[in-house]
Amino acid sequence: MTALLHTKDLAVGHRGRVLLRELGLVLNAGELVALLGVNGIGKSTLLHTLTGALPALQGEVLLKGETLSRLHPRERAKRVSIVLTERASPALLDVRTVVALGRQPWTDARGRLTSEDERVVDQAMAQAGVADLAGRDLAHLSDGERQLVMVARALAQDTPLLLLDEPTAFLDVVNRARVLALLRQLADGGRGVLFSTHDVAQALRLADRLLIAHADGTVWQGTVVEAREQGALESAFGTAVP
Amino acid sequence: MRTGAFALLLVLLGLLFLAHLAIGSVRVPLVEVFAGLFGTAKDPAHALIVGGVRLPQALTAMLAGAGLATSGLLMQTLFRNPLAGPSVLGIGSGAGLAVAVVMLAGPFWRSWGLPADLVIEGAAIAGAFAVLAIILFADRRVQDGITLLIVGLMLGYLCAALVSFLEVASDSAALKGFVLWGMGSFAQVTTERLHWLAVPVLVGTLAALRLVKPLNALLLGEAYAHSLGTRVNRLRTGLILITGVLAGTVTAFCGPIAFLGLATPHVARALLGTGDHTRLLPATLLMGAVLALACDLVVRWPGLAGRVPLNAVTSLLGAPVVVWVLLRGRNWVRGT
Repeated sequence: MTALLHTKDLAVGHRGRVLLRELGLVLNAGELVALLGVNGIGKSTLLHTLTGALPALQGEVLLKGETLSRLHPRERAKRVSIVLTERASPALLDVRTVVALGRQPWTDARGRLTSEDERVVDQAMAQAGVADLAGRDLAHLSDGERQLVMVARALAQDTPLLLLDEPTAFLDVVNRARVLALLRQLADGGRGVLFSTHDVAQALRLADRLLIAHADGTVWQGTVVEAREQGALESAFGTAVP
Repeated sequence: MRTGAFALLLVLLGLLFLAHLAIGSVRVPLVEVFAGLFGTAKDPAHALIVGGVRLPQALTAMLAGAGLATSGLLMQTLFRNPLAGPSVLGIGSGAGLAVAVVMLAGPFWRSWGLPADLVIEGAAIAGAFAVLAIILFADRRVQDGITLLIVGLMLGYLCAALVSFLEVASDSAALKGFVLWGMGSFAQVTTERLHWLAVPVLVGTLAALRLVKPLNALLLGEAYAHSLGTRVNRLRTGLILITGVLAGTVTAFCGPIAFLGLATPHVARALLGTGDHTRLLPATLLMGAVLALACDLVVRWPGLAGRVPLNAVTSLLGAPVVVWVLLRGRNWVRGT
């Protein structure tokens, strides 16, 4: 089976400054993988490089076996979607319209939705639990609701690989649990899900595997059990981890 | 209500268009207006007033309004700033400075045999691009929309100051022409010159209408737009080109017109209740034509005739809209 995501000797960073290097990551369908590491270590940079928004400094990213940089933007957008940390608060867009934007890689030049697109949008909203919010203005939602809507938008994009940059960062405990449970459910449904987080405890509880970014620019990979045995978290965070 | 908005705009546009042809220092009966449009007016004076004077002015107003409103909406989406617009960001002033340079330098190039309209139009578009380039550069460096607006306003003052210095050094005929232009008017475009305005505006608005899908993606920010398959750099270049051509062309022929580009998209948003460009963009350009006709109708109203400058009327409409947008308190300072 071809991995959804495979990186070969990948180095990521900004303006030539390398943050993370020698990355040989593999992510398969059905896996929920957490990306852990201290602030500023390059987690967001890595995720943006995996979508092609930032160029790789070295090495390459393969999506289902094809080189990311050689994919047509539309083809790329059919393979990988992302939920960002930044608050998108456009004026006067209702939730359904925002979720429907996820269909853009699949729609015609004017972005018209077919009945199949409508069905996928409905399904995405139902799955993320935001169907009740359909007519609400995105700008008037709570942070938790907004985050779920952005996840629904990514679901509507219908990509096998889903990346999320700190999806629980600004959420309260209840919404944090909701979002993480949804991610677990999506992975169980066959998607590959990679999310960055500060919440080590939740990551240990839910994720199939961990990617742990270390200060020397390397990324440790392994299961939760292996991470405990090898002390990978302690070496990354510098303190004892529950 | 939602589809009704377009019907309402079209009806308003039709009514204002007819009113514009009928009302003025001379009142032309509606029958004669229709007759004048088809070249069958009984009174030759009516035929001249309707076909020769008011029709080109009404068309100019509609084209200018639609062009400015479209460029305003594109800028608001591009800069993710609801207070962006061709006049506040100094685009009109940049075009104005370029027009001042070529107008005041008229004695030099007028003997070359180039069409004057083409020279002025080219200069205005170049001036608009120059300011847009500076604004884009500033946008990459400032944190919030208000700072960007202040940069734009300062660019406007700078251009106006440079124009004042140019005026001192110019001969009186060139100066008079430029001062007249600087007051803003839809009355300066005759039927023979109309195509210089109409073609760029039509091409620009049609090009904008083809971009509604990536424009919608851009509402979520550049990173999301990229992840949805938008070629963000190409889109940005396209939007700058269209905005510069629209704002530059209109400024070249009608002078710097305040607020129409900034205020119209907000009026259209309020009417439609959506930021979705699929409907907002067509509604904005129709609304631009409607508001420009309405403003020009006030300017030409019998009794006021010609004594109130167009910019006073557009400011009367636009300034309250800006205050309203600010007071409504939507979170429009961009997030981190």
